[in-house]
Amino acid sequence: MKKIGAILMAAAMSMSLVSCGDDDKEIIDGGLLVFGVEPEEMFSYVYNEASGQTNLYDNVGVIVATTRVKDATIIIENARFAEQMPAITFKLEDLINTPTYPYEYLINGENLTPMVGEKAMDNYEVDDLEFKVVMNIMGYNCPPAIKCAYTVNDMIKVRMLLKENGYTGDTNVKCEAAGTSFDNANTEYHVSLDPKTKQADLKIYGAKFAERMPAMDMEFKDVSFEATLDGYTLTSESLIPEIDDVPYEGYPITNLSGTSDFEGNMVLKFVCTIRGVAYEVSANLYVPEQKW
Amino acid sequence: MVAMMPNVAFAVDEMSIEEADTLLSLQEVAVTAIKQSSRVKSLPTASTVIAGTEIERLKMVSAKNVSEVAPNVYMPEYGSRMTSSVYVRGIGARIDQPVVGLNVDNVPFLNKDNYDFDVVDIERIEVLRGPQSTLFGRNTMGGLINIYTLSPMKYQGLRVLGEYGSGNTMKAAVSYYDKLSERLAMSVSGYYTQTDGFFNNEYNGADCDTEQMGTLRWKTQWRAAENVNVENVAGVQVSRQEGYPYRSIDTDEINYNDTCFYRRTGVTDGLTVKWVQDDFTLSSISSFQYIDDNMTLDQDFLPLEYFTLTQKRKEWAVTQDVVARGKVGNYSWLGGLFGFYKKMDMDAPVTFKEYGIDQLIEAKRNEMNPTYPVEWDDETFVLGSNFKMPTWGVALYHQSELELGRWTITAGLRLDCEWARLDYRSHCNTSYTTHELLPTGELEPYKNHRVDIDDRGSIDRSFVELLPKLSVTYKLPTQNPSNVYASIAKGYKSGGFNTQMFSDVLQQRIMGLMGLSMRYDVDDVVGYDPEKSINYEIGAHIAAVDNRLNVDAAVFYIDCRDQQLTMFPDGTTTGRIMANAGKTRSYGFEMSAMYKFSERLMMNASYGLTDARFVEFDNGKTDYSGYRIPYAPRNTMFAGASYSQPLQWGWADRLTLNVNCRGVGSIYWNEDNSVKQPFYATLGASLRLEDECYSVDLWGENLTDTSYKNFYFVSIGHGFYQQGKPARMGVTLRLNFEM
Repeated sequence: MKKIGAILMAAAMSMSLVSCGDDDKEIIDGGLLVFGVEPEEMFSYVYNEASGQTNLYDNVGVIVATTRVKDATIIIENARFAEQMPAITFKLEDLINTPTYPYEYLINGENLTPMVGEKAMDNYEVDDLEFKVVMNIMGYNCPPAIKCAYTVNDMIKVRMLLKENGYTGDTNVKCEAAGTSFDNANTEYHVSLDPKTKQADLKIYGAKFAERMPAMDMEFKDVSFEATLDGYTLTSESLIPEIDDVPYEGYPITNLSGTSDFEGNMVLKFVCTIRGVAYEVSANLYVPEQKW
Repeated sequence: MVAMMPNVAFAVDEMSIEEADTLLSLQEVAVTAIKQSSRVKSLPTASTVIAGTEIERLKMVSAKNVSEVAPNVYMPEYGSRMTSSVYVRGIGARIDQPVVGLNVDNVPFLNKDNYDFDVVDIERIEVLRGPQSTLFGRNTMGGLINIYTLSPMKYQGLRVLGEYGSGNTMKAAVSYYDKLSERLAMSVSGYYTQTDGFFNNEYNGADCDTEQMGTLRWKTQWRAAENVNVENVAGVQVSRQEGYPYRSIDTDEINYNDTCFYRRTGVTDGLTVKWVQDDFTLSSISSFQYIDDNMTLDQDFLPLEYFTLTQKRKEWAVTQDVVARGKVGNYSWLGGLFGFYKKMDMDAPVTFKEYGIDQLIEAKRNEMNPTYPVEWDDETFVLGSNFKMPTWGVALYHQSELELGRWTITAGLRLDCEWARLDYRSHCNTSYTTHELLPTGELEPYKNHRVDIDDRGSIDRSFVELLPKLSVTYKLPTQNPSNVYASIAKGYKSGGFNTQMFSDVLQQRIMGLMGLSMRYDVDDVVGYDPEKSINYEIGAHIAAVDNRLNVDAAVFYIDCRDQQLTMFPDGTTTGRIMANAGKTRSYGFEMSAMYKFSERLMMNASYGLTDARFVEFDNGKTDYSGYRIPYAPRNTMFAGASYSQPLQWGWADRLTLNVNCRGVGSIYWNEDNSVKQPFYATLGASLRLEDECYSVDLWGENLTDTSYKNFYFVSIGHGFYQQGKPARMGVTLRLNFEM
């Protein structure tokens, strides 16, 4: 996030980005907004419709430069579409940003020719471009939800995913043995995805399994994840949670499953067994949206 | 206390109530009774007035003593002089803001922690029950205690007091009153008391309720002009108390291992200026108060190394009240502007010791994860808490009174505004190690964790209240002054901050770093809201039989919202908090009567009944609706008789026998009413031999050696109580050399 901030700051300085007074008009009329994610913070999921092959490629970044109402340019850094292909950085120009509120990014495009520098890549055509950002207002350091999706040559579908994802929402804990159902609205979730290992770390802050239990900050390590065209999924049959890097064998987690989309929504379920009593946790989560 | 002078009005012995109350009849004491009529019994409010020899007879030296006489007033003596719990008609507070205001010579005392001090030469004490918020503002929703000391304008001479009693208790006082001119008079009083107390700590055999206390007071009265009176009262008090005599309810022993004491130094000064015109008076009351105290506790009160608390505080406060009063025909009015500022600096570290770390932190954590147990790296660590609390307020008030024949209608309104801020710093630096329990049973270090916390923040509160009152009084067509009245008044106790909770908040922060904690929102648990009440009352002040019989009676109903209750929230070990209950209600009856059979025989009695209950109070775990409000006694009772026999001995002219009985209870000690003190009574008596210049009293208190609990609380799941003082006897010598 600090790197995102650095990009924003540099762009702001170079593009005369100011936030108040008469300068707003200048921004709206002719100034530029820049948003970007460093390659270290993203990876891409590539699906080849023809061969059925899927790949994850690490260190893929995106930069978007736009005026508030028109003329957007998207730069994809280190993009790869196949194993044998080297990483390239290309830009898509003459796009239109159609936000529904200020500082939103909502860009679509068809029949686009990627540019590498000033040279057009005529043997590639980009369609079904969707770029959308949902700004995250959560307290801790976590980027927004981003949808960056496009199709190359009508065949290669690309989705870009953030490695760090943060959510909040309603968590319900049911205990059949005790006949209780407890709702907690104050729990936060952080998912870290590693494309190299295809494993995720899930951190839950303020997890409570009953009204009068203390809240716990738990970490679920080495959860399997799979990227999809719609987002990603999490699964784990069984794991031992950790608190402050210390395993808690008395709180085994089983039957974990989660599904997240690019709109910032996530459904997560798991079972935590404490002293032989099973607590079924289900959470409907979202990236809290900040509308400026 | 030295004897009152024979030409000064006494409520009991010689003068009528009207004469006793009308101090304004003496020009020299025109500074008294600034906001109310000195004829307390003419006010539409339930009141108790104690004056003259009754103060001496009952050995009254402080505001706390009034609870033994005034109905429905309970101010138990427990703990230290810092603890002044006050309950009136079911409304009260153990910690933080008081429900009863205290004025000494018209100077308001803002901090309840400073209420308990001995006063030399009390001339009279007034206890007004029911909300006095319209005229006296914040924290008088239960009532008001006014203490007036002897005036050097009225009396000149030397007074000496010497007393010795049980528990190796000694008191000594010297007061000198002089009139330097017709317009200027001064008095200087010095007082000292010490006691070895009555209770021992089983742990080390030491006395655990010893005390030494000294006060100095300098009073100046100056008639600056024919119609301008100035009074200044400056005082210093120093007290040193060792130990707290809290007995475990499990073992019935006082047994704790860590140091306990309370030390306090207080300085006060009050300047009153009164300008009197024919139909108008303008008064200014300015005060300065300073407290420097240190309370150190073995907070678990057990012979175990749990934790200790030290609370060091410095507090400054200034008040200014400007009051104008006037009368035009049958219409009287009063208006005033009041302002105050006080600032408190507090340093309150809690030191966790080995057993406390083991039981309260390690055990809870290791129960959750026995395979990876934790162990603290140090034997002790400190939860540091520092606070700064500035508070300031301003109020505008007015009261109108219209006399229509025998009827008097009184209406008043006060706008009270207050701002309070708490700047806090909670800090802790310590560390612990997680071990891995190997299959061999050995423990191997797994990870070392640092705990470095430095939380700082600020919480603000502001309170604005309108405080109205309305009353109607009817003067009965009787020979002696009597009246009946009805009143409705709003009472208000300001909100504030639970500084005691910070040690728990910090402890939970540490648990949170270990991955598990009760998540407290600091703003929620530390701050509490104002308490408000509406008091409905009908009463009467009756004098009959040529003023030999005086009866005061009242019935009341109090509807209280957001009553502030002392609670011990979930997960806490050290902290008690003030939380707001939903609604409470209190109704009851009180009566006091005095009958003077003859010049020799007099009897007086008082009784109060209060049924105070929760109407709505659900703390999320238990619904306490219908339960009795804790710490508020259901019954209070006092009965006394005095017989005086003239003597012709030459060196003594009177022998007086006094007997009294005081009773309180039942009192429930917690919200679920599972622990209580049944009604109990104690017997007191004294035999006085006196002449013009001296008196000697042989006295006894609690002569039946009744065993009772003054107070009960819970600390880390254990119940503790303070036992009332046992039977005591002593002798008091008073010398009076009037000039």
